Amino acid sequence: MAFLDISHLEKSFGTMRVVKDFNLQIEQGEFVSLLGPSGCGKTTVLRMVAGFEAPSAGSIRIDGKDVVNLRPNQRKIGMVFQAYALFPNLTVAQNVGFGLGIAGVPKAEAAARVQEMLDLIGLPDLGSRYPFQLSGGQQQRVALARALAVRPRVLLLDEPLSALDAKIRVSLRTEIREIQQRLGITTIFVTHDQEEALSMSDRVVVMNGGIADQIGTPFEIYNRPTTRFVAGFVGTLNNFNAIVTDAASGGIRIGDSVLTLPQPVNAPNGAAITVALRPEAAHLGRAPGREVILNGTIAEVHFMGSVIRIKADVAGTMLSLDTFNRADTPPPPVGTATEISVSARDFIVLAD
Amino acid sequence: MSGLVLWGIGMLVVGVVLGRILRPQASIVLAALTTLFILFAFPGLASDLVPISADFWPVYALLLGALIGGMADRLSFYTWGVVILGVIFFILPLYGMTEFSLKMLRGIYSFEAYRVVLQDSQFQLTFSYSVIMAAFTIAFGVLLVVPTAYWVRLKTPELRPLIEFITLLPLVIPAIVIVFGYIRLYNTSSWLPLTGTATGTNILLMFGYATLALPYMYRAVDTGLRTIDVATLTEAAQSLGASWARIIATIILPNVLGAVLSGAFLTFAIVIGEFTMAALLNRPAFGPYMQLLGVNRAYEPAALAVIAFAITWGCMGLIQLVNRFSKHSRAAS
Repeated sequence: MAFLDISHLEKSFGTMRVVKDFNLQIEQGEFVSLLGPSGCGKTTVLRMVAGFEAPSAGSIRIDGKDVVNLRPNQRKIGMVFQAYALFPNLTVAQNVGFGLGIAGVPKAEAAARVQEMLDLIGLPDLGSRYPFQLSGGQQQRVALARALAVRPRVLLLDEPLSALDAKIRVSLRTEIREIQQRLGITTIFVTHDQEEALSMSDRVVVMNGGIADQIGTPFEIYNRPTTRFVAGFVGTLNNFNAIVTDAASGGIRIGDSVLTLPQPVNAPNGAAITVALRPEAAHLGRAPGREVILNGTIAEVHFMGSVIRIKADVAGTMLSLDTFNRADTPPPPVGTATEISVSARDFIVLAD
Repeated sequence: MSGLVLWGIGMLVVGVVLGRILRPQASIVLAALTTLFILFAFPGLASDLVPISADFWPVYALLLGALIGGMADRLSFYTWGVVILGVIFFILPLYGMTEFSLKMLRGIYSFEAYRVVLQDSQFQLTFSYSVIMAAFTIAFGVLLVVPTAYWVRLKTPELRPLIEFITLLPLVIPAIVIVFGYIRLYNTSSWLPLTGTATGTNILLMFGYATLALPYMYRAVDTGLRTIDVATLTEAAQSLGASWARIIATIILPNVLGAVLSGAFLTFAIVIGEFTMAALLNRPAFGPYMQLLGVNRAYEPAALAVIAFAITWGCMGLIQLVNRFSKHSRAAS
């Protein structure tokens, strides 16, 4: 049995069903992200695990014991909030030691643990500061230390990076992941930022309308999205209308090009389906191993530094493709006619 | 006389210059000068007769100058007009009253009226009674209002209009109505004969005071709670294992201490001056004493009023000091 077992979890506010039959098993030490747009129910799931919301149905088991009827202060769960939520009247050290005082940890031991935590987050000398004297990134690290000091069974992170500026966000997510791995603490991370979810997690749960649409490793989620929502929400996609020509062998037709997918298509011959392609799977010009050639015209060029995103008009459909920047090859000018090569293996057939 | 006016103008100019130089700290300068002024002025009360002349003028001029200097660029010309009008309206009667209170001995200024008042055993008795009652009222008010306002903000925000309405009721229901209601409900032949004993009546009076102070106390605390993220701080404390009592005592109360102190000060001012309830419940409070003195004496009531002002201003200064020096005062941002 998994360390944290959420099964058939439901939550309704009035007539609104916010979370519907949510199931998730998390192993000890695993880092799982709940990813989805706002209003998808991810924060509600997290708050039910923390005990701040009572589920309408279902169970939440931690280490085999159902915690649904326990109050938040009895669950031994650490939580980090988007708004930091440091106690303004307490110093950094008092904040970190707050939970230890409640747990009745002897003073000397608590002081040692506080120092250990401050070392862990890289702020060993700031114990006597007050929260308002710290930057946002420092405050959030203190909040993390405070949550970890009591050695919680599960760590819950509720969009902890959303209030920070871009650079701090990237460095802090590496730091959080390192600390999580060093301590081996079971963690649920809620975010609407796919880059955060993909880069930090062991597994990602993509949520939509209160349902877990897909659960998988970041690699699976990105490369093998199982629903149209997941495919559209995670990364950028080019969608093509296609006709099934030979379902058993994976034959489809896009415009004039006929191609064979590596797997059979789950639709009758002659049916209209949607297939999708990641921007990085399309290549400007011909290339070995990319047997499908599409003819198009360059419509937009966005230079983004290491990556150049080009939009090309292919028979009336706009196709995005990414190429790496190379100092000796400038991007093609807008209006140029070009060939775009893709491999049939890179097409994703989307279920609705 | 012209020398005195020159003195005053000179001190005013010095004050303005001082205020300009120490602009950000102008209020500290004011507070320090006021304290010095009180320290210098009041030892004279303890000893017998220390006649003081109109030397007050230069001190006032200095204070006013510092205020003008410190605030000059924050206020426009018209605002200044209003401020000066207000000062005349407020300071002039105060000056007249203070001056009158010093004239008990014919022909010279003296603290005779103050000496008489302060040495009156009735003054000491009633004043200390009211101070103790104020302390109990404040403690009761804090225990009642802080958890209530906190709970309403956290759990039942939809009840806020109702609670606000209830806390406003004491402003529209006269104290005499409340106290008659009390007497009817809790007289010696009632189910809870609180007026039967002095302690019972004191408790009743304290409840009455707390009711009168409710509009101010509740508003002060509610405003204080608005400056912190009550819900998230509560959840953070809960996730760390804290109980409700601990959350209120260690997180909520310290963060609204400034607001609680404002409420406490207002409560103190109300209790010290309250007449109706104390008189009708027949308790030896300061309000009835002031009234008694007012109808029987000439100079002492003025001295008493000056003392009351000094206490009030002292309280206000203390609140400012506490807020200024509380280490986490910028934390709410």
